[in-house]
Amino acid sequence: MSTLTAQNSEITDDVLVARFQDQKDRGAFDELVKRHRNRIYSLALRMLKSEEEALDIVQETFLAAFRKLPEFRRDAQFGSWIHRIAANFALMHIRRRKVADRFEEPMDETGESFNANGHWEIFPTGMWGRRADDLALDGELREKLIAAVENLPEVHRAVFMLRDFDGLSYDEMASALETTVPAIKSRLHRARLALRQDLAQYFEGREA
Amino acid sequence: MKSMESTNCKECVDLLVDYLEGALPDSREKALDEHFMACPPCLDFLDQYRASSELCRKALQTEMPDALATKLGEFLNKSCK
Repeated sequence: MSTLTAQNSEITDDVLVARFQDQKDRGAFDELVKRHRNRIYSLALRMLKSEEEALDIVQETFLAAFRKLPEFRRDAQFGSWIHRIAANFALMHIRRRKVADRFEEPMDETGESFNANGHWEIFPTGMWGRRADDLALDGELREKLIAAVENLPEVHRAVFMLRDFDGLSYDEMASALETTVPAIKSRLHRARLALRQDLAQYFEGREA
Repeated sequence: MKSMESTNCKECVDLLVDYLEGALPDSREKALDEHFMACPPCLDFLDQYRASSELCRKALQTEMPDALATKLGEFLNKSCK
């Protein structure tokens, strides 16, 4: 039974972890679930493109956290820890779907074109990059952004989500994906280039 | 120190991941800084590259639907003893 109330929302994760470890306070654990479930769900949903599998990831993540939390070192960040658990479960799901052969699926060209001297053949245009902070994420733009990410090949999407959405380190990603840091950086770069190209086309159409 | 002439537009684009994270050697970073200051197309590209990532990150924040949150709660109540 929860011993927490809505007024306790300003209590830090560290305090909730301590309550769970010291007093077996189940309400503290439930509050940690409430705080972190949306972010974990978002990561899993975009990596796996399936609500059902995303729910599996969230369930597995919090069950693992419940079991391991008694030994959790309090000098670590609960948020980073649980998101690493979630990222690993998501990667395991991807491997289980036997998509390894699709993992290396090549990406379409990402639009930049240079001459033999390494200078632009066609200049990138548009001021939208400079006013991104002021852009309202209306329904249409939000849908476009989600579609752009979902259109990335699976491994590029996974790397983009783990790095740019979840902040995993390159070493952690390289280890989980059984590859090298330069290979991870290369995929991240290709993913970002593809997203930029998609958005450039979208904004050009909107400004036309 | 590398001069601007030694860093062309393609090299700037190829090095964006490390440039944005401050992971390039000082001389290389300075050469890219100089190139971006002198090359408006590359500066536009840099802004767009950075903005794409930030916009996607914002758009991807999704709230778990109520029905799934309920299922999660039921699962944890049953499994976490």
